[in-house]
Amino acid sequence: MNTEQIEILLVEDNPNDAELAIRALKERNLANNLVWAKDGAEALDFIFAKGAYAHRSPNNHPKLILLDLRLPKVDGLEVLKKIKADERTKEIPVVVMTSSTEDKDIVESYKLGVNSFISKPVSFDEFVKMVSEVGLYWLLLNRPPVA
Amino acid sequence: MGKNDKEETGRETLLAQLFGLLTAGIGIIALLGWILGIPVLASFSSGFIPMAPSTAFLFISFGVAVFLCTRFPKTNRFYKTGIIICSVGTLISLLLFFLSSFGIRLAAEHFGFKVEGLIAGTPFGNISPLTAFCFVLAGLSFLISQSSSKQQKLMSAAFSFAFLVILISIILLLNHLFGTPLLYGTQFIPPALSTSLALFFLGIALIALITPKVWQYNSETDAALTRSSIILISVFIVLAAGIISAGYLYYMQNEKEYRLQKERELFSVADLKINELTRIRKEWVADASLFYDNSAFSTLVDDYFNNQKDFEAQRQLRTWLSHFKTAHEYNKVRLLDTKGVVRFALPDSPVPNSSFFENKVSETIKSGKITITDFYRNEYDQHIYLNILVPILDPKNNKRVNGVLSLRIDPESYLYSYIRSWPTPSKTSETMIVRREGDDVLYLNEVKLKKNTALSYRVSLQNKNIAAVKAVLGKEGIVESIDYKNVPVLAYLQKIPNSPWFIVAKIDLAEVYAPLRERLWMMIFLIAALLFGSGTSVAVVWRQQRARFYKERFQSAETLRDSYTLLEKANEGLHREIAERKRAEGALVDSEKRFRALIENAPDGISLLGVDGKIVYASPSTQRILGITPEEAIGKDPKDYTHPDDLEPLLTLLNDLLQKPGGSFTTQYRFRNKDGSWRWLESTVSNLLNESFVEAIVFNFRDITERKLAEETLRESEERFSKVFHVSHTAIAIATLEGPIVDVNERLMSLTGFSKEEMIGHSSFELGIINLDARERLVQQLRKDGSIRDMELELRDKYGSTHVVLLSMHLIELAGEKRALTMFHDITDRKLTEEEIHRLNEELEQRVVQRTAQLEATNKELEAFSYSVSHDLRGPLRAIDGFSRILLRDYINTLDDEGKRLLNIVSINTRKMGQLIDDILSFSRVGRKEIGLSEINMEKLTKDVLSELKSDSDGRKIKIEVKLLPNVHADVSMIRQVLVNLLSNAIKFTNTRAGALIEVGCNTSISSDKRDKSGLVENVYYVKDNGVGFDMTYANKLFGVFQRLHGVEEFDGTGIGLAIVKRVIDKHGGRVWAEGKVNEGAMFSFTLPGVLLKK
Repeated sequence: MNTEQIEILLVEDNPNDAELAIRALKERNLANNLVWAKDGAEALDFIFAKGAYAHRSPNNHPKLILLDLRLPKVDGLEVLKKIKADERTKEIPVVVMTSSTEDKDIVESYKLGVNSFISKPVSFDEFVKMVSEVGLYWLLLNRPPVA
Repeated sequence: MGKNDKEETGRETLLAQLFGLLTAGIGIIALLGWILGIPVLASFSSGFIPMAPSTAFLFISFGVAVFLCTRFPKTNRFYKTGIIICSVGTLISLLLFFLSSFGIRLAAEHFGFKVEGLIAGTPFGNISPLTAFCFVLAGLSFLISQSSSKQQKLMSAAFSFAFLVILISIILLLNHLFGTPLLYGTQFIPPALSTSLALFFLGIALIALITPKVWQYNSETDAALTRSSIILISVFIVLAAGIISAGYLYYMQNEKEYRLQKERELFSVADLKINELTRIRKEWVADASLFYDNSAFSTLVDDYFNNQKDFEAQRQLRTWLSHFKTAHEYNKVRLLDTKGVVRFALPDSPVPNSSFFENKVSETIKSGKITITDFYRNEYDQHIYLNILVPILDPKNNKRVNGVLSLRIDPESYLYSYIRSWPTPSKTSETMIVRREGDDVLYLNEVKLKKNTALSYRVSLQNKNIAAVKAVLGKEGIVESIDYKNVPVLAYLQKIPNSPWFIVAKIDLAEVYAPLRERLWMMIFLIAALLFGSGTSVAVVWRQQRARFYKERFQSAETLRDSYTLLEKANEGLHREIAERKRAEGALVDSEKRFRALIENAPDGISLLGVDGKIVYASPSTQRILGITPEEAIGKDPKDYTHPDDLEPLLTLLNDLLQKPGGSFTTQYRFRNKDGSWRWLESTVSNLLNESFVEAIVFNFRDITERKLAEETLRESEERFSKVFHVSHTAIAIATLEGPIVDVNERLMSLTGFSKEEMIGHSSFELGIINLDARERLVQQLRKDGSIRDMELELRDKYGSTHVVLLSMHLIELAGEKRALTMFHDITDRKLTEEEIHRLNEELEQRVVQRTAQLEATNKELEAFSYSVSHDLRGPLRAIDGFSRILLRDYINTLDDEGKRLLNIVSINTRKMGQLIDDILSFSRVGRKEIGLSEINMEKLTKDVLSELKSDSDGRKIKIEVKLLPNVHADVSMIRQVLVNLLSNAIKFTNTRAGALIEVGCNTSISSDKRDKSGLVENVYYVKDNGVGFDMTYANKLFGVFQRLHGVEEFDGTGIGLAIVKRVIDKHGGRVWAEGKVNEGAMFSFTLPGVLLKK
């Protein structure tokens, strides 16, 4: 792992979905610096530079976190909660991308400070469109607060 | 006696009429006086004030009213007129009373007559407040007396009013009689003499009218009492007359003496003054004479006149005169020559001589005689003087006058004060001197009660009443007249000898009489008290007489009654004796006749049976009862006519009877009528064989066939009823309303376990069948409503078991007594069954609830399952779609056409599956969601939805009509979903129509929902389109999940929309249904329970 800036942290347990997402981002050239965490625990380790990612500089934050909710080990909402509760990480934009359309998930996510909540469509075309739009928006168009 | 009573009343009425007319008469006379200008008619005496026209009018009114009301019966219109006149008169009097009390004198009261001035210093022409008051009293008294009230108190009040009027009028009259009328000389108008008299008459009239009402004569008492009453009244009148005249005479005597004393006083004072004045004048003359014909003086004056330089003469003169002046208190001494020039004056003053003085001087010179001038006023110093002018004769020639000596007197210094002085303390007594001047009287001195009178106050001789005028005109001695103030005075007049002066010594009559007036009041009160006292004693005597009279009456009545009782007793004894004697004497023939008549006219038939058993006599009634004439009956044997069935018992009875002389029995049997029919007879048979005058068996019989029949019928019906009563399956009891049971039937016995004997005579609560409260309530309701129907009640039987019964009660009448007929249906078993059913039902319900809960749980599980399944299906589906897409895109060149087509099919199906999953998810979401109720504006919501759906219509021309939609209480997001689904369906299924028409509206209809029995009105919302419609055969399938009636090629969609609609409406407790026809359109309707309205 190099130390260059990680742009996107994709937290997704389903390898197919992950692949599709990465593909979609790649098509827009957004997946160059993408890290894929396969569960919530890994995601947290990465963000807070612990465990497998202990060598990482804890201040090297990803520019965008794409977060699934149904995750093994640590649930997506839990991950979101931890990110948004930490002063260092709370400013990282987190977009929940999930196949859930449950109202309570949406409400809970927004309560925890999610920046966007997106339902993954079944249609690949739409999925690609959506993922690329999200990546474009949060990486290129959105201006984060100056540290 | 009654007649006498009437006469008495008539007499009083007549009295009232007479005095009423008298009252009116005085009023008329007074009014005539005013009309004809003869005031004496209204005043009776010139010294008194006249009756006011208004007073006269009121007297006429009241007099006429009294007359009318006593002359005519109450129904007559004249009577009513009288009452109206009196009422109006009373009201006017009341008004006038207040006006006059406050000193307000209306000119209207004069009736246009000329009324002015004062009489004896007293105003008149208007009603006196006292008179007005009396009128009010009289009016009230009269009106009360004419009211039909029987209240003795009221009548007594009326009587008192009238009496008060009389009392006041008597006092007024007495005042007039004593010459000192009440209120004269005050600011109030006093009642005139005529008024007082008229008031008296009016009072008498009223008393006459009221007396019989207050003391209603008991007709019994009158005759005896009237005579003594008259005597007593006469005694009273004589007493009253005596008291009044004695008082009057005493007063007159007193007055005369008192006046005489005053006159004497006046006379002596005046005489004293005249003497003094005469003496003064004489002194003046003497003084003058000193210088007149005094040669020494004349010579000295002559010297002085002739030689002005003769200082010696001058000095001597001055000394002489100055001495003289001082000694005789002259005001000024002057010496004038014949030309009237003052040659010498002591003291010397610059005031010129008055012209009067100069005239007098020249007169004196001419006459050569001593002149005493009258009072005169010097116009230069405005002083009043008197002058004695003495001519100075020429000492040489006695005939010639050389000059005049003037001795001036200032009356102020002595004369006036002397004249004014009065020897006794008195407010109004004074003397004045006057003289005549032309046609006037001139007052020479200052008077007490008027300023600046000396030599300036004049009174014309025309005013002959004024004392000074009288004096000047030659009247002398004591006179009664008026003075300069127009006040009545007592005066002494006399001319002062040798002078032009007249003296008037006077004192106001008011002062003269002031002490007398006090005494008068005492007198009047004394007289009134005496009158009252004598009246009371007369009344007491009268009362005692009455009491004694009644007592005597009562006693004699007692005695009479006692003797009457005695007499009656004696009479009774006598009657008894006579009756007994008559019986003893045995007026046999009469008796026989009487009894025969009795027998022959008796309704019962009577027949006599001889010893041989044959009929010896039959009364005429026999024919009526049995059709057999008495003649026919004689000699017949009754056994032959008796019904064979009844003969045996009858004969037995007869045989028994024969053994018992004097005995009797009563029996019933059938007897043959002449026409052959059987009649039931009831006979009382007496054995009178030993009775000497009868010697027979007497049959006293009457026909009771009808009664027998009725009895029979009744018995039968009773039997029937009794049977019904006893065998009835309904338990029945008959009881009195108080409680005790009269009768019960078998069923009741078996129900309660009590025997008939146990129950009869006891009440149900005594037996413990029912508690007392319940029974009381029942009886109460029964009394109120007459019956009770099907009341459920618990009874307790003899053994303590409880029975549930349906009870009905009726109030019936049995043998004239009120009875409660009570019927019981034992419904204990039914009740038990009902309870069992109820229990089972509850169990069932419980089970249903349990099952429902289970079902719900299962449902939930299923729901969760389908949700998670759908949810989890999405992932793989997305992968399938995604990777087939990637294949198609990235590996397009390596695939042949068939491969591409197959991949496309995969892709399409995955998408379709995705759609299905989404639909299932949203459907299940509806199922899981909680309803949040809020008021929804349906019209607004519909329009919102429509505008959202516009994009779906692809620019098609659709006519959408939204009618009036009532608001509803429901979950807004769900209803929104319903509308979206229905409207998008409508848009979808009309896309083949050129003129698509969609209508959203609401109908109101009576609820057809079986769950709702309230018959309320509900709102039915509907969405109607003219689209492709559907076949009603499949209407039930419309709302199923994924149920579609059209091919996907025709219309896309998964068929979840209506399922969701149904789910939402079901969740709200409403109903949804569809109507349609293929190619003609569809209408989807739904109701929501929140919109039920009262009809």
